[in-house]
Amino acid sequence: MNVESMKQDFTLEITADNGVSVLNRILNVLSRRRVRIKRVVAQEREGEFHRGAAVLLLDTTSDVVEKLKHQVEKIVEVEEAMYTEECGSFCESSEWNNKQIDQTKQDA
Amino acid sequence: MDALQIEIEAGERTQTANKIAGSELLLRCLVEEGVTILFGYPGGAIMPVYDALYHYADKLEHILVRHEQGAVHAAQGYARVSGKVGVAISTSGPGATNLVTGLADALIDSTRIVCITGQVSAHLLGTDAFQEIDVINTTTPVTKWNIQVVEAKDIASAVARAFYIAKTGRPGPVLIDITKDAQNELIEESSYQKCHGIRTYKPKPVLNMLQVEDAAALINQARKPYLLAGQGILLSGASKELVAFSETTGIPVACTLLGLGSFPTDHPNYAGMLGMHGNYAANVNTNECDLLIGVGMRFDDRVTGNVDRYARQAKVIHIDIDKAEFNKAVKANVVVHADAKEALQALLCKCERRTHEEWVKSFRDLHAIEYEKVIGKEFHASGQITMGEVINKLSVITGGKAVLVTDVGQHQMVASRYYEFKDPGTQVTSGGAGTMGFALPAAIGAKLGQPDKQVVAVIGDGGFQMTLQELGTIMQYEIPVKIIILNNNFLGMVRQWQELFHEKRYSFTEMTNPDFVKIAEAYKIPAQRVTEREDVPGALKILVESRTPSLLEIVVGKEHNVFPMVPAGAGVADVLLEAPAV
Repeated sequence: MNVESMKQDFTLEITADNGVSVLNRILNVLSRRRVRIKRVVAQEREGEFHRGAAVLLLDTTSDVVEKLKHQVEKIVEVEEAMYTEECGSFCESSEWNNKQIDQTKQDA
Repeated sequence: MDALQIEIEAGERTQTANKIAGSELLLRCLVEEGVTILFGYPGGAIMPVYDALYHYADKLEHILVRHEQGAVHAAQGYARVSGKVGVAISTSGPGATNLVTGLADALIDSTRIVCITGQVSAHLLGTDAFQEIDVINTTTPVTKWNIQVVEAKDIASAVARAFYIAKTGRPGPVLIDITKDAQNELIEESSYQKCHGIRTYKPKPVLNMLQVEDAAALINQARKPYLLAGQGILLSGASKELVAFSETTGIPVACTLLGLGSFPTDHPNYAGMLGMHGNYAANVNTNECDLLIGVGMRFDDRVTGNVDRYARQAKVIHIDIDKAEFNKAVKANVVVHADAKEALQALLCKCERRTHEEWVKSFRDLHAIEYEKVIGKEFHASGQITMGEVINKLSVITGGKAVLVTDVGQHQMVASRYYEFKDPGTQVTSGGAGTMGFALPAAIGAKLGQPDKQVVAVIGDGGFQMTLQELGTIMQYEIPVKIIILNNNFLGMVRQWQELFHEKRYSFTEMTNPDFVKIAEAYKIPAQRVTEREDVPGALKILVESRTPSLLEIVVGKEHNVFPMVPAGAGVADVLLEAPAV
């Protein structure tokens, strides 16, 4: 089976300390493996400006996403990385983002 | 001015009774971390630190290298032999980018170093100011961690975290970028707090005894078990445990390139070096064993060859401190997420005493084939001098006790295979990155890290010319490094591939070299050139016994090839002992 046909959506959820280059480090892990990012939301936790969360919708294989999880968890500031199949979890986690988009539309 | 703040002028250095500049605070932090030596090169954005260094000569020895790449490789060599954190320091912009190769090298080879770079003042960040480069983004892919400090108050915590991160877990390079205004800023003195933990960072896994028991069960059942020892053994100080484990279980042990020295080469269970140019038996028997135990190694592609044809018949146990290495290249039946020393100690209690005489003998039988077809011919050659005979004689003269620093290429593979390492921490080379130019500066660091040990750098003519300016550093500080250039007037490894796989099209690999003896003499380093076989032993003896730095150029066969060789794309069992018939 070719690799392209094995690809599917995965939601990767990451919680981390919100340092200057943390998001860059996460994206570097993905770009090194040429993983396509379909959607990304990153936000500070309410009331905890030094902690944040990122949720990414990825188009990749189950084998690669498992490796990505461990490589992301190697980043010093990363507390935890978890992934789920499909975008269900992403959509839930990105509710905040959707609200922001709705708010922006209303403001406009 | 506040009456309590009495300014003490010392040149341009400014200190108040209760306050110190960020630059001096940085040095105090380094002293608190036990740093005694820095490798560096000054420049505009790091000048406040250098000004403070002027007053710290009694606490911090600064080695002025001739290029920042030299500083980072020297820090690597220092760290690899001393077990301490190596420190390199440079200015902003090109000073910082010149560190990048060394950082990448240290990241892939798990070397504990901290690099400190000066940066333009905070208000100039992002303005394309003179010598301003985005060092954080530039070095993010090649560091374990990095941080930019823009206020003096953050220097101490940055240094504390940097050292903690660099040396814990799987070690690696860390970079601290400090803006010039932060270096100049005066802040209240306070006591230094070392870092003992970071909330999100868990460098030391808790040993899982269920994993250990699963591994022990496989080991106790195996008829042809085979252990691959990587640098993780050396980093965790597990050499004694490895020997004890091998002797108890009767399991033969092969070393990766960076794992050399973790297991004595004269031990009856030693199976040789793994990899593309590793030993014949070590490669062939990978595809004969029924259990493969990787300890503190990462199944690098140079070790596995074609991974689809790698140890398919065997069950695999993978022991490593870095969880991300599991199942990355080779699927494991059992993983043990642990420090190598702890894991081996625990396994030793669970594994039965065994012998595998026939299995161990099969390594010796295969080695006899390699000796007949390759080793014997190199050691007892006629015609042009071979690299193998030089390394063999060097190994005998030094008793396998010297720190051997190698560069990258043919000489590296020959030296790694034929030098009979007796002790841990005596082999320094550039493994994963394959950085030509590594050896000369790394040897400087190694000698300063282990002043009582003989340090011999074995370098090819190509790699030597990449960092030969560090002869100036050797001259200035009279560092008694012994340098052997194995000169074949070629970029030998590339030429070998061109010969074997590109129909001998030697595309830009032949080198017209300078007179290396005259170059050394220009740096006041005694040097000798040898072209005849009978002169080799005497010249090596003079080199090794010399109390000063010295250089020996040995002209070796121009078109000699390094065998064994696992061709690119081949399985490890397809290792060649000679060039394939055309």
